[in-house]
Amino acid sequence: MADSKPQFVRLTGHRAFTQRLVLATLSGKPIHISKIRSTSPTNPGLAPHEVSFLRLLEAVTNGSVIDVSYSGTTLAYQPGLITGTVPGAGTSLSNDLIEHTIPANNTRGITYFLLPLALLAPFSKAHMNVRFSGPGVITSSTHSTGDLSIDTFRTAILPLYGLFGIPPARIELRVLSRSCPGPGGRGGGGVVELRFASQVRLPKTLHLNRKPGRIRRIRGVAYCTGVSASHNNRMITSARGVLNQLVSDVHVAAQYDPAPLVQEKGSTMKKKIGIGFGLSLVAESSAEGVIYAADVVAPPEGGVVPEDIGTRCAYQLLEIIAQGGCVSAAAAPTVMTLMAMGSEDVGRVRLGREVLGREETIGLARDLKAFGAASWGIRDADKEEDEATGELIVSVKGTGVGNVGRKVA
Amino acid sequence: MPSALGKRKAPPAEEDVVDAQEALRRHFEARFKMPAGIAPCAAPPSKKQARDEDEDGEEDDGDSDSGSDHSDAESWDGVSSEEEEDDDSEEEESHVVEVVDHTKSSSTSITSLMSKKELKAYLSSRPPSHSSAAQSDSNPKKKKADESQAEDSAAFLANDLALQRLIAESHILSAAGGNSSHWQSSAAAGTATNTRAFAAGRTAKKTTDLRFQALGAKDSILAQSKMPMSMRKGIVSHNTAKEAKRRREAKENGIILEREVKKSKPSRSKKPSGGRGEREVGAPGVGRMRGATLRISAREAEVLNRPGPARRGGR
Repeated sequence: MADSKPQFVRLTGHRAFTQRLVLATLSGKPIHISKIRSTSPTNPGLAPHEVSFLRLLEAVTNGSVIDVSYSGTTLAYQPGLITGTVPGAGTSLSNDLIEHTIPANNTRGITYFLLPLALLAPFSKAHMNVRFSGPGVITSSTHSTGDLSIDTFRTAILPLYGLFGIPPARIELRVLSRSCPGPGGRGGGGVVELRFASQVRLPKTLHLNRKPGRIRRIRGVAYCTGVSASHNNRMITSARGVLNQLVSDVHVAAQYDPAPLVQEKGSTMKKKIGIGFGLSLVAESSAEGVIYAADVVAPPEGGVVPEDIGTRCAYQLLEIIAQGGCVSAAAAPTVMTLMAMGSEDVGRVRLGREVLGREETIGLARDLKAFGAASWGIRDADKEEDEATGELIVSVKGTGVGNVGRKVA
Repeated sequence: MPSALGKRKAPPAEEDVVDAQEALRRHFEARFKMPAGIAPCAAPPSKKQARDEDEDGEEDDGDSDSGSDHSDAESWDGVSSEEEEDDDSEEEESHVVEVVDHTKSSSTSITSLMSKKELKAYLSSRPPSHSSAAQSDSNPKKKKADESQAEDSAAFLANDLALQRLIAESHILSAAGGNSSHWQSSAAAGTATNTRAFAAGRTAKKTTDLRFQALGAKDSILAQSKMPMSMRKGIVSHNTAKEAKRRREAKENGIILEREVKKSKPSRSKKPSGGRGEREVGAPGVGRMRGATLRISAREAEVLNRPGPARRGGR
């Protein structure tokens, strides 16, 4: 039953682009975004990564209509059904994958694409198997745009899906090739495969309002691409120097990869691209499901010692732990969106003040309201006798939309 | 003291301190004699190298001792650690360049890197599920102290490679003088062959050959395959005579030795094959064939004459 004139949700600006598109796809409401970088004289309109994300959306959904204006500053999106990997429709029978290439002028890390895709995947009709390849896949975290690395995504974000009844054991994130950002922060030669096989009807209601507990152990991955493998050791040593005084159980895995080769446009020659190193630390708490993560990478122009990266990452992790709450700032949008897409029940989550007070989180709350979800309830966490925790309990009422493809009529 | 003339002298206080250290070291070594095997340590570089630097301004090749000696003339900080982690402290005075070596793996690499199990959980493609990771952590900590098997149970001993090797090579090692509590071994330790240079290497050759044979080598590399027949016969007869003499003397003196391993001659070519499954091809079903004669024993004749199960056909 389509209306003659669909009521668009009207939003402006390029901020939270993927988040808005994901909400539109999940709720089924058409969206109209205008004034996308309309004031920028040099790069007006959609950025290359945004265009790439639109292509990805087109590939994983069926029946979606995307209208971009000539200048690229206006977009109208009418979502279709999230189908995932249906054999025959865009996926080859041999490997059952959707191949998505990312252009060489991309500056965002691959988690920019993976985070919204992982939000859509539990609600898709079939398994969501996507392979990202091409001259623009950056698997490490990015210096300028602050994207997460895939190690953080895999160890800190994906396990949170388990809290919602989406088994993380059926999610697989294969990194076939690693790459840091290329020169100027754009381009990279990584290859990443996401196989999301846990589709659910509705995510479980989350009740994560207890105290976050104490940090029990710290794990992490130190990765080096195209540089000497001793950088891993140096980063780990300097990070341990900071963290071992606080937690005794600190173990970091070291990953070394040679620099990936990327085919240059217009020639058959391959170029080494994506050289760098970085550290991703994840702190697990005694309470189940409370994970804090920090991610630092060397800038693409270089000039930073691994020891600095290690200490900076350790301090960043400590800052994130100091912000408190049961969900860190990086995972907050994922968790809040999943709560909002749950059953019509009130879920509660404990957030730190700085996490909730971020532009991103407040923006998400406003967007959800624009899409017709209920507003969030915010109250202070119960004050303990000794400490005023300063944390807030946010109550989110789910919309009950869930997976349309799995609806039992 | 050639450099005492003019130029820059090292301050006398430094020399006193260093001399005191030297005196102490000499006193200690005189009192506690160093065992012969330990080589004397390298001479402390303080005096000579400090003087060299003063004169020639040579660059120090990464010896931090001189640097710390030079800077702390009055207070002795102790020997600075070999592995230097701070790489941005370049000392201005006297051209000391601190060399930081990151090529060898530091000691923290063993402890900071994760066990294989954890690596599998964290570097594989699946997201780690934290509850299972927690369980796997606690299990190895709860060591199975109440082991049902004693430490020296047969199963463990059979798998103890070092022990099994020792047992197998014990004859070689004893002959080389390893067992000082046995008269024969300690006597052998004093012989010329076992006190020569590289005697340990010669026994090592024999033990290695034994290990190869255990691993599946056909022949021993140390066995002499080609020898004049008379020489071989002489050696073999000497060995048998020696062994026979040992057994005889022991028997006469009432000493119990290990059981004799009788050398078996090649068996008779034609075994009495009266049983099942031992028949040659083409041999008759009963009895023994010798030349043109077939000998059937009485028992076999009895079996033949018995009215057995009704045979098909008359013939």
